[in-house]
Amino acid sequence: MTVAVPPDRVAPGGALPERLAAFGDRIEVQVRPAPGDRGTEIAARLRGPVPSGAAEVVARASGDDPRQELRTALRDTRSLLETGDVLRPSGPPTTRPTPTNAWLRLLTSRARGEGTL
Amino acid sequence: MKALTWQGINELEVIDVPDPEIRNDGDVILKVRRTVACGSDLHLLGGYIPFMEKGDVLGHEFLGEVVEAGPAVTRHRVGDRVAVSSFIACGKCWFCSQQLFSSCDNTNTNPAITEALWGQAPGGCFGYSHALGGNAGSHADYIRVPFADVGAFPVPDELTDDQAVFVSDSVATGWMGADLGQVRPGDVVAVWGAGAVGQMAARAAMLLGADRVVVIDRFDYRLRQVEQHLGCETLDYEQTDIQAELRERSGGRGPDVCIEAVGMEAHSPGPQYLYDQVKQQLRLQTDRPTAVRQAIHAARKGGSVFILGVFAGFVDKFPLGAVVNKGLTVRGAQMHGPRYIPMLLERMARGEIPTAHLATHVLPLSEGPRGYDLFKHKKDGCVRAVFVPGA
Ligand SMILES: NC(=O)c1ccc[n+]([C@@H]2O[C@H](COP(=O)([O-])OP(=O)(O)OC[C@H]3O[C@@H](n4cnc5c(N)ncnc54)[C@H](O)[C@@H]3O)[C@@H](O)[C@H]2O)c1
Ligand SMILES: [Zn+2]
Ligand SMILES: [Zn+2]
Repeated sequence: MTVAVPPDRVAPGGALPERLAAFGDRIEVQVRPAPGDRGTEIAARLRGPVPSGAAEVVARASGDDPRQELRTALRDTRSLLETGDVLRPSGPPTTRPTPTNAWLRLLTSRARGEGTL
Repeated sequence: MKALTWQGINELEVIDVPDPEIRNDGDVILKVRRTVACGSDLHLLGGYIPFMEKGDVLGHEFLGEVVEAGPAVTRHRVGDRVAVSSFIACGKCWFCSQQLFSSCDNTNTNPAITEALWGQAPGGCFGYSHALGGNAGSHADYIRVPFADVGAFPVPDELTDDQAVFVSDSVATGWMGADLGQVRPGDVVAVWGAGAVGQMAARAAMLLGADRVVVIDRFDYRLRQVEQHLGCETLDYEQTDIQAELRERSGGRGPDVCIEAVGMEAHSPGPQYLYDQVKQQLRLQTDRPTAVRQAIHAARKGGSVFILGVFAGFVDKFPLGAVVNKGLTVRGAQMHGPRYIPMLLERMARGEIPTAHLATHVLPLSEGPRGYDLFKHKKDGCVRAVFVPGA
């Protein structure tokens, strides 16, 4: 992930941003300047084993996959560094759960934890 | 409050929903004064963008009065009349710093859906499905506007609500097509689609110095608007051979810039339409790209094609050979509102960009479903249905 702020603001004195620091030794993080004045590249990887195969499907559907937690933390980190805030969805909701929107609700409830980040 | 909501494919209803709340410090709440049915909504209505829930509030072209402002808002005060960019931008990420505001990294709260579809997520948009953040739209008494210092702009007193509201989406989108399509003085420009977006692209091309601007559609009443209010030339694709006529009007070269303002539900005369529609229905292609194909075929060598129409997925029979062998530049974008809106409001206040004629139907919000019926089926001379909440 690339963040549009200089490295010394991403990790002043080597201290990681709060949301990433909270993972402790569970993640390995690299912070390096991005080329062409694009700010800072942050690469984070989970150290321990992650669910795979059938366990992965279950973990991702139930929202317990650690990669989802990490992706969400990365997205929050970028937004906090760049804007000082994390955008919340609009509300209160104008929709209600129904059998036909169950799939979409599942998708959106995981949508910050999934993706290509 | 009352809101016009999506209830299912081709089903709209005005219902009671909870009032929006401030969720972030940079939010404002607007009392909506005008909110417009845009061609993009038709793609949602028709079920071509399947990320909608029953009860979602539509609407992304709007203007209103600030009734509440979050503690971080510095540019707006309660009582201000503002027009709002349909795409939401943070103003701080790299994309915003490059003025690619609709590509904002921080405003789509459901990024995984579009990352899976397209590789990367664009920013959020109002009333434009859960794939673009699921933000409640403007077809309501009130709307929450996040990052209001970036996306909301004060409206000059010279402009009425019915004139100014279009800056929020169609005027800015049209301008972007001519600007990023690189219209230069002396160019011949062809625009597919005489809806509000195509009309505003045509006007922008004129203001950027184009020598000839030709707008293509099949609805006579829309083409007449183009001639009367914008002073551009027109072509009816059901009456003429578009390719031959465009060559005729450009000394055989083909238009320097072709702007597509039709989108994924394009209509075409002849058997190809059936082919595209069947494939779309069978989900073998998600979009019907008729006008894009024509634009690429018509463009002069080394010319540019800008796609303003909304496409969601995949198209068939894309004329890649023409792109490569004619050396074309093909580009598209969702609207980068904040890049253009302040300049456009000034131009509109000076009378350079006529918009009042677009508001063919001004209706109370309670008549929203009828407004969409008129707009979708191009009945009764409808170009834009404009809704007035609380009326
Ligand atoms: N890129 C953006 O940010 C953005 C913003 C707003 C709208 N849009 C898109 O722009 C498109 C136009 O929007 P609008 O509000 O003007 O819609 P509209 O429905 O009012 O107008 C579309 C026009 O295209 C004409 N058309 C259909 N097939 C055609 C063809 N083959 N050749 C020429 N004309 C044809 C129709 O007759 C109609 O007049 C839509 O796809 C909409 O989603 C994009
Ligand atoms: Zn629109
Ligand atoms: Zn941004």
